[in-house]
Amino acid sequence: MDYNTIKALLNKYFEGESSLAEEQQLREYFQGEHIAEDLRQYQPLFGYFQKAKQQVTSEAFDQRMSRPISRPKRSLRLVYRWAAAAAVVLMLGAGWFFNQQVEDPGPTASAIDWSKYEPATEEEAIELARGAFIKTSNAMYKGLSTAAQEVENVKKIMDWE
Amino acid sequence: MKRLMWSSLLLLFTWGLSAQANAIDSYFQEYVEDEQFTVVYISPRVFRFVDDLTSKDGIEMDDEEAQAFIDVASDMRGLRILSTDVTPTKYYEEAISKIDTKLYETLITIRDRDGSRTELLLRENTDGKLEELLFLSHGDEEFTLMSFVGDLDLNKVMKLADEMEDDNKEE
Amino acid sequence: MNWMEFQEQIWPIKDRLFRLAYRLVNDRAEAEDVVQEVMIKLWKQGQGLLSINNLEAWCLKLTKNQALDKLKGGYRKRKAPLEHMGEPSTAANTSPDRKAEQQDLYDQVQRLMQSLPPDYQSVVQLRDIEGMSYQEIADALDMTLAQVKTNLFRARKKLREALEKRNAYGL
Repeated sequence: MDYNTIKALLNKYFEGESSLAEEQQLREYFQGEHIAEDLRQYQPLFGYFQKAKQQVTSEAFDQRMSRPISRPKRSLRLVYRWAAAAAVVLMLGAGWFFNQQVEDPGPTASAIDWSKYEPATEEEAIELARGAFIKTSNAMYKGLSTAAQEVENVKKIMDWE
Repeated sequence: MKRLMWSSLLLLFTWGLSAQANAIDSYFQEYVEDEQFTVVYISPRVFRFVDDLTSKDGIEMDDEEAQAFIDVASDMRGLRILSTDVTPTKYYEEAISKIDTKLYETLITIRDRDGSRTELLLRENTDGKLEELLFLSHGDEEFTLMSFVGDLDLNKVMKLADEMEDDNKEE
Repeated sequence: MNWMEFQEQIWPIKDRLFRLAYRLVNDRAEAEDVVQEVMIKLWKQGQGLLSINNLEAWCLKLTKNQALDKLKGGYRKRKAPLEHMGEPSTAANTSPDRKAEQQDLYDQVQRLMQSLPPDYQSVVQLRDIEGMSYQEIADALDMTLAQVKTNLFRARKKLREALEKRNAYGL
């Protein structure tokens, strides 16, 4: 393809006016050996697009997904709900009982209704929890790998020594 | 069925005892009520569900990172997350100052060059068992406060980062 | 619908879903998680799947939302190196030096892409990488045709400016 044609195509592309076929032509041009000197700066972009399209899921993923995913059993969840309701009643009693018995050693209890803040689905909750763990885990990792002194402290706390 | 009932009851029962003790209820109630905060609570029920979802009749998650996550999750009795993108630094300073240092021991402090900070604090019961792990962090964009209640095994928590690190190497 | 039928519908598009997720969350494992979650969601809908007339657009939409949720949920966004991308597509007899140089250039583009807002990233992903029409992109990303074009124009402009700047300063 001659320089002027490709230059015009490139302009169209950056103006957002190019067709899919023209975009394909551009990718092909930039894949070739003979790229005009002043256009070479755009090569990484089109080359990158080509490469990025070749990405696929891992084999492990494909294997994992080729087995049927079973649905979480509804009946089971219902049981939990009932159990939770029953437990609340029980907890109220227990809370009272323990408050009577122990001088609260830790932070004080409060009246926050935490159930309001629960994610809508279990999956979402698990995702959030996973994110939270990973953050914490990373912080621990970072903390431990950067500060040698701190490692010693943590080892003591964790009874590694 | 009956056994399941009882085990859930027992689980919730024991959780009930500890639920009265977490830093957010103690020091940060106002944040929970503050509209500017995103609040999330994940109950012990969900952590039970992790196991169900992944072990028996659920999704097959055989990679090691997932296993490390399940290991940590199985010790959990509740997770509370507060976050806001409004004046993160101010909230961070305030939060740190509110925490009773007699009860909470600093495990790790990280200061990054970009000015962000992360702090991990522990609270143990009288028997020296871990009761709560607190995570506080702030950067330019967000202040996050997380309270993990449960007898967490820090080695397991570390393992999770290890697994992720391994993943990074593979990539 | 049974699992085989389900797979027949989903399998042809899973890589495309994966690439969009990967673009947004920047991490292989997390991206696969996103696709898995999308697939579970669809599977749970069971028969409902057959009545969706534009399955691909619908799946892409779910994937994008799931990926963005994941980012919101406190997932750290890793700087993913460019990997598993096959051999460089330029001439066959490239020396190792040139290959490394080429890889380096692609890494720069990758980082450039990462710096764009999610909407820009998504349109470039679907247009320049997947080769989809404006209408298909609009359906998948819940945008109007005009929005798709505007986002694409702005994204390309940013990419162009960055490339030219890079060239001018000889980075």
